[in-house]
Amino acid sequence: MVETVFPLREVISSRGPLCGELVVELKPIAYLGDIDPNTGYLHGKYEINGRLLVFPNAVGSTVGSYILYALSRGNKSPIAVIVTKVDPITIIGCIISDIPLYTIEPEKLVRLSPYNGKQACIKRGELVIEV
Amino acid sequence: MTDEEEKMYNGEYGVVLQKAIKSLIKVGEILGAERLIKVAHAHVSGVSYFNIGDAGLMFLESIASSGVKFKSFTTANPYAVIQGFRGRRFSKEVLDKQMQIIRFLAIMGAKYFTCAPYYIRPPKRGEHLAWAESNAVLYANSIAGAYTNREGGPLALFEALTGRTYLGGVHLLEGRLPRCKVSVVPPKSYLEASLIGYMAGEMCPDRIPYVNGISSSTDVSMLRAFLAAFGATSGAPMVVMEGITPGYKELLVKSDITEHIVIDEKSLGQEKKALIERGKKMLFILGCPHLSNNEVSEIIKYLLLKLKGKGGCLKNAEKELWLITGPYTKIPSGASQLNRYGVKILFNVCPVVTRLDFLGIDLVVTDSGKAMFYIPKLAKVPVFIMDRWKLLDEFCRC
Repeated sequence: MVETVFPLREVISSRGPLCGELVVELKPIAYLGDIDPNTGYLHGKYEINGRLLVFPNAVGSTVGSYILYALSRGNKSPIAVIVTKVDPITIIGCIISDIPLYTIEPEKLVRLSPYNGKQACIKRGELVIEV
Repeated sequence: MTDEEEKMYNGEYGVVLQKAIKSLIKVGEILGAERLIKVAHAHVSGVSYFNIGDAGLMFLESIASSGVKFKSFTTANPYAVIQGFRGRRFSKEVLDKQMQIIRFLAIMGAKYFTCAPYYIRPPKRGEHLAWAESNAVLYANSIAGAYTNREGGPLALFEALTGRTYLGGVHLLEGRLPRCKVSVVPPKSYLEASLIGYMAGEMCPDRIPYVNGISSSTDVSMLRAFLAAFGATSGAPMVVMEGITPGYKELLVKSDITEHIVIDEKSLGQEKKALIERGKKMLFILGCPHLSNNEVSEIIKYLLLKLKGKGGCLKNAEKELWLITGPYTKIPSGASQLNRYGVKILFNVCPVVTRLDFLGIDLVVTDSGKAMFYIPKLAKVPVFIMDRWKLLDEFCRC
């Protein structure tokens, strides 16, 4: 059976359901350098503005939190960030930017990757793919 | 919570400190900390205007203008290079905004700007710190045996303002245990140390590694190159280095290592050959992370010897060599003679977080794996990596 529901753990909560296109990246992200805060693009090609951004974990510069903040001030931030492992740079970035933060099991991230670009919603602690 | 912490939490010291301590507690709760602890030294990142932009500038302004001051001893990361390159400079607007950021941090109490805060105030073993800046965090935990999580820039700012951090992560023994083992070839140069660190980080992007193969007599500047490059490709706050990291034996005994990775000479790969094309505006950079006082004098001594009676052709060449360091360095004697050859010692700045393309620079040559990772992404200029002494020879070549 093809999975369409993925359990999440809520780290920084949000009000109401969060729906948007999935952007699934299987490699770690260095916010500073990998995301352009002015355009809201990841690696220069994937738009994350208004999307559900899923990736394993943050690496690189501790300035990364300010990249999340700049995205939110410029109305270019993802609707939610979903990672397999949280870290202080991501957490404080999401807190000051009001970005909901969730974690997902590493093996679920791999199974989620075929849905890259598909519509999904976070409802009651689960990521539900719109089929 | 202590009385003082409770007062901060209840807003008795104003809304800024209230927001700071609430955010700090929230981060601590998420990471499983039970309480806050005092820190001996905070180090803030997010200082270059090119990195944090107008959003970050306004964030700092809103905090600094409330009149709050840092409670702990606080240092800050270097700022963008404001000196320019061969006569090209940034616009007045950019320079003004960079100066504003520096002023906001200075008003709150940051006096020193460097990515090597361990040369301003050497951390002691077992001391609790709240540092941002990955290379500094890795140095503090892995070489000095101090305790600091790898804080995001704004979090370190909140920790500096409250004088507190959360007792979690690498402040506890459990959080310092390695989860993967990396056996490496002993690095023979800065370049090799950088490349090994870069690869080890890619292999352990979210775990503290236990690294063996680096000799305990390895020069500390090579260890710094290794750790800085590791910090670019990994999110881990620490590397347990056999024979080097204080308490490494206990950490190994208690660890639960399931993965063993080997980095041998073959996997180090080929150093990119810097194709020195005539007419290209080239910038040679040493000092990512910031050079120590000794490294600066060593390099200047080498250059003075190398350029003695020669180097006339360099005077009009389209290249410069920047030696980047912090306020702890004394300008070595003879250094001023090298100015005319395009050699500059720059203090308190960071070219990696500077838009070098705006200064008309076509190409950067450096010995740093960390700079190799960030320069194309942040400074927007192609980069070549070369070992330190070869790089200096290449710079001196006409």
